[in-house]
Amino acid sequence: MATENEQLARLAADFLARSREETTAERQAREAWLAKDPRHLRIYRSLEQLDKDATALLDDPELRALLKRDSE
Amino acid sequence: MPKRAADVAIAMSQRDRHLALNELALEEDAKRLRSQFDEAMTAHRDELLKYLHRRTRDAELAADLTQETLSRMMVYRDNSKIESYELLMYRVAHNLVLEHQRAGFRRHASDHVSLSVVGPLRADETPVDEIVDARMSLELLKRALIGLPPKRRLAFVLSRFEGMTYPEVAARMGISVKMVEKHISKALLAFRAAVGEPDE
Repeated sequence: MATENEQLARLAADFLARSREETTAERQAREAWLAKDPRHLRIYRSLEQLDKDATALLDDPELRALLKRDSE
Repeated sequence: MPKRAADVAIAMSQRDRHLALNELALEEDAKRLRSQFDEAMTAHRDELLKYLHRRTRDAELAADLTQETLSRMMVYRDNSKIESYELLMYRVAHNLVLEHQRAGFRRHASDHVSLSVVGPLRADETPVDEIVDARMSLELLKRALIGLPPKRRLAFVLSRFEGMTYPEVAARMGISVKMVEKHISKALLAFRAAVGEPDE
């Protein structure tokens, strides 16, 4: 049984993943969801930061070695 | 009397010597720390430049941001608490890229924005404990990235690092766009699970 926070996190992650290439309607839905509850925004922002940090980390040599294996 | 004065003088000179030696040892430590720091910065400079070039796709900007990253790193030169200068350096560099994006920076050289307009030096204001926390979070995050199922990681990398659109990632991986989004979403949740929830 997922906790309420986990459920919110899943929704937030879906919105965030989609946000890169969302339609206007999707953007409006996302913004409405974010405005609805401060917890929504908090969880969303923390995922956004993780997204950015993980992206920054991808330059790590150890990770690069793994990535090379993936793409072979 | 003269004898005692002489003893005192000897004692003092011994203490002074002791203090001087201590000071020397501390100075040596500081020097060693600095040279380690300097070596780390020199060793990673080229990689940093390449990284920033990839992130900005602008050679001139990448060079500027490399310089700025190294200058911001100087704040940590005497800080023995930092275990990985490299990790911290990429975090500083990453924040700089974001600051530039937020400042509405455009890629063309003609639109070049001076570094001074991007605002206060965030790294300077970050307390050391926060840096150490951030470093630990980054370690956890790194492990989470490594621990992702290979396809999920590949989708994340192609999208975030290689800058591909979702349809491009989908085509490369031979999966649907919906599946790409699902990989990204699940990757984000894995990061959250690994690093811990910041609130509540």
